[in-house]
Amino acid sequence: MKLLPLVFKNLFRKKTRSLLTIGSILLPLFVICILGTMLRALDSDPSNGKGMYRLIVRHKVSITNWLPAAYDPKIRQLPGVVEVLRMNWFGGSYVDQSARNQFARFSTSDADRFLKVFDEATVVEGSEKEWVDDRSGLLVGRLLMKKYGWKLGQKVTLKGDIYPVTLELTIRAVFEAPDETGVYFHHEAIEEALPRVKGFVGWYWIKTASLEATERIPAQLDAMFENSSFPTKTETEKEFQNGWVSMLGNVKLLVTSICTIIVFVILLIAANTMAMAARERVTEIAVLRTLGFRKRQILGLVLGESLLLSLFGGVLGVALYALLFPGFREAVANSPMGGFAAGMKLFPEILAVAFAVTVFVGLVAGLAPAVRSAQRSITDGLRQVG
Amino acid sequence: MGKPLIRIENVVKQYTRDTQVLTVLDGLSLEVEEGDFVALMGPSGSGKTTLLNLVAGIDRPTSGTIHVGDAEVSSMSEGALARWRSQHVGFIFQLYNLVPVLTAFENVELPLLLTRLSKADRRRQVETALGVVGLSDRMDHYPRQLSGGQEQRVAIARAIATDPTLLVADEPTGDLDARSGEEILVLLERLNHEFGKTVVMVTHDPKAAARAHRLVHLDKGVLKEDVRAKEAAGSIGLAAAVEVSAGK
Amino acid sequence: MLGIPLKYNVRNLFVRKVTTSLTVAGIALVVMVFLCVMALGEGLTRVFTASGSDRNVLVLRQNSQSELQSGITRDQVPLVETLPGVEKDADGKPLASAELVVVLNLEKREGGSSNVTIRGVEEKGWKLRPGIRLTEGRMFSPGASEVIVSDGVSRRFKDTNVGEELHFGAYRWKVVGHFDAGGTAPDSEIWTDVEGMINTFKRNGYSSVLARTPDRAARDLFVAGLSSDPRLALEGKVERTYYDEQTATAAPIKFLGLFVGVVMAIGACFGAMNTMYAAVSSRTREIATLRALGFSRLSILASFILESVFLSLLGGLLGCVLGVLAVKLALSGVTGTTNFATFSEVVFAFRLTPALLLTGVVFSLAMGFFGGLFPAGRAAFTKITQALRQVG
Repeated sequence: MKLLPLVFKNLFRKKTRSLLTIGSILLPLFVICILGTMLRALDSDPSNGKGMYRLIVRHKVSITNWLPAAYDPKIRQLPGVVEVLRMNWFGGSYVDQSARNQFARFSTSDADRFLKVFDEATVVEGSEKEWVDDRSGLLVGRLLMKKYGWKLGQKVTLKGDIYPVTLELTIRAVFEAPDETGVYFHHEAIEEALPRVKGFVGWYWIKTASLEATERIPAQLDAMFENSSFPTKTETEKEFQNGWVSMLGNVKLLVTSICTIIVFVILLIAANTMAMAARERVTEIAVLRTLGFRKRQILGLVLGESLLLSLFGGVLGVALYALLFPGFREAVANSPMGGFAAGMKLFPEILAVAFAVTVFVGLVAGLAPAVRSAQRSITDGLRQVG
Repeated sequence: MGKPLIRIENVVKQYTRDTQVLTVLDGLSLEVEEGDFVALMGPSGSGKTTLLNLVAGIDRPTSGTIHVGDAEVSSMSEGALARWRSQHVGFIFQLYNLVPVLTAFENVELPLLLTRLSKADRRRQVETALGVVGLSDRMDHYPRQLSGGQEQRVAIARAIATDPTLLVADEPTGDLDARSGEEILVLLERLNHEFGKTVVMVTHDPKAAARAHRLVHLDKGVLKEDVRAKEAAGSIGLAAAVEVSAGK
Repeated sequence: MLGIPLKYNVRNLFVRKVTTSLTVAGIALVVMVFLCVMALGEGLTRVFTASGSDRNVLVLRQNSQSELQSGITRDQVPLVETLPGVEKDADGKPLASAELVVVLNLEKREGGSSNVTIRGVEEKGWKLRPGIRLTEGRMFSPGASEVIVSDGVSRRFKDTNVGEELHFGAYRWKVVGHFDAGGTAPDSEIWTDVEGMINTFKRNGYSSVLARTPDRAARDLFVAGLSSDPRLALEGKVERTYYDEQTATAAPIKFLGLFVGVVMAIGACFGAMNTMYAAVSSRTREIATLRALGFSRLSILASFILESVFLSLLGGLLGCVLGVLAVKLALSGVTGTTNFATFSEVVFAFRLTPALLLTGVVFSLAMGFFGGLFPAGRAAFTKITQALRQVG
């Protein structure tokens, strides 16, 4: 440990080089953190476990096929069902089709049950009652309120595509939840304008009483409608989300491969720096050995420097990432992939992985130069000039 | 004079370059008494630096034995040699070889970091060593802020910081101007006289050699001439001998 | 100006074997990652840019972004087909096909599931898409619950080999053939007879009508006729434009490629800069000597920049080779992702175009240039007298 000051001083002997190397570790590590967070967010559970008690029932063919609204009482009578919520994807557009104006728009036939099923959400502005009572009322995620600068009581116009209607809705309540990127309104608002869609809904949400019910109900429910004209597919919220992820294709493999190659790139750059540093110090290391420094001390000196260099870059990279994370999350939330932001957190495991990568790079990059430095004979080292 | 500190017996040192075997030292034997001041001279390739490295324990002979004090350095393991060097030998180089990122103080402290001394003890020893070489006021200077002569004096302070019995110097004045070189020689003489250090110095410079008590001349790996300055005649007799050697 | 021969730089690079190869390898990996991700994006884009004809018009309900959201009633179809501008076949019938699309959630061969578009077409649908050919089996016969599956879909989804049965609760289809659409949108689809499909799914109409027009003027006439008929509330989109608009699906991948590529390139550029600084400082005396011999500052500058550019070019070329190998060997199969405009899977292959490779090389040249600039500047402004005195 007495040698630590020497390691530090060696590290910044060539300031430009050390700074460049730190930079070339910092930037890739930053990328790894971002990619890792995206990957981790894919299978995160933003509902904090509440999703374990939620099932989604959709048409077996795909979610784009509707189900009869009349399944409601049949589902409700199943034991273990606490609440049923009929939902529908409105789609459409707000103002225009630009990426900035993309967000999820849903309608529900059961506004009064919404907060019972999504019990991780709380109304923070306006009130649930005002929204439930107003047939053209709109429930808005807090993030969207901020993004568009909306005010309570303001009118929002949504233009439909699946449903060829234009709806003028009034913001009656604002909710706070892990995912705040959607708006919800009464399905009646659509039905009034388009009587032909009456009797159909997009999918059902079920709130279950227990984990046992969560496990039992899907098979039971699907069997019930198996031979009807509208067969169903019931999944847990988690399975449903995984389904979307699986639809994205093999994102995990892609991102993991990119990250692995990035680690190699950092390794090469750091190894290069350490090789150059060790080469320039051949004489000096021979002198230290003449003074009585042992091989393992030389090994420690070079490895320590490499590790420290890598840690500098790594810690700065991670710190930079942590610092920029809120902005990054907001940028994602405002992008067309906004729903994604809900699952994004400063995952401690990602930071840990980044740190582990740093240590790995530091040790591996320094290994060859360290061993070579320690093994070189003293007289050889002294003979070399510069 | 005293008992022999260094006993070199029948030492052979060979290097293999590609397939060629190069014999640098060819059965050399030599004794150096404790407290002596020996100058090793000879043309390039005569083996003087190799001999110095063997004595200092940074290289090992192909055959033969070397004793320094109670230690047989020719047969010690590398780890043991390292420990031995840190306690018994101070090395002075032609190009000073100070660590550029460390101050004079830290450079001198380096060998002490290998001991169990406390920080305060280390500080005292560094200050003493720097006091001996007359650089107490330059402690916090970096090597690049010092003149060549001053750098070499810091290097000498580093060599004596652990209070070794043996000082080995490889062309200590080779890169210095006449005046600075003179200062370094005076300092080495003082370390020899006043502090009783045994000094073995490789040099080309007749003036430097003239400071020594004994002149060992090597050629092609064997001892060619071994001249001892007479106690009474002092440096004059030796100086003459030096001139004779250099003239050849 | 006296130029320093490039040979001098090349030899110097080979003298510093370790440093040179580490730097080259770093740059190569960066270029490779960039190329692979961009090849992915390019492959996806290509599906859309290659799809659709300029002469076909896709008729959708007003404001619909895709066929999936659109709906056309039975009685609207004859009105659309008889509008002026629609080409007639030899029998004098309009060349138009009323079609229905539904997405099916199918299980993938690799596990998991994804939505696949199943398209019901009229017989005329084939004539409107001349690029499609059967590769195996036969065409479906109308009304017999038979389907043909694209090669791409059959490679990725279960139960889609010829002779197998795709079943879905009460729905059953026999797979009777495979087809290939030359890397265009139908390569991600399953096709069947439209009337049978309307029965199966109990729909009361179609999703869209695809109509062929003989020329641009007729096409514009047809589109204008559609939008001016208030009874219809339909709109016409040139088929090619419809698909072009979906290229946005590839935007996140291309963004990822650019983001990773650029950030990593800056990192690798720092690495190259390090190498070049070391090269300059170990050759200070040489540089001073060259200057003393009469070489100008500019030629020293150019020489070192050239060395750096050459170094990165090696990396760039190696990266291209690695990229081509990766795409040819490891990533040669088809892959898929979901097009959120249609809620269904797009099947595509990695596509490494010469233009992309060139981008990769240019990328590496830029790394070399910026990496070499400052070190070369330091070299050019070396003080001759000082440098000559310096040891090493």
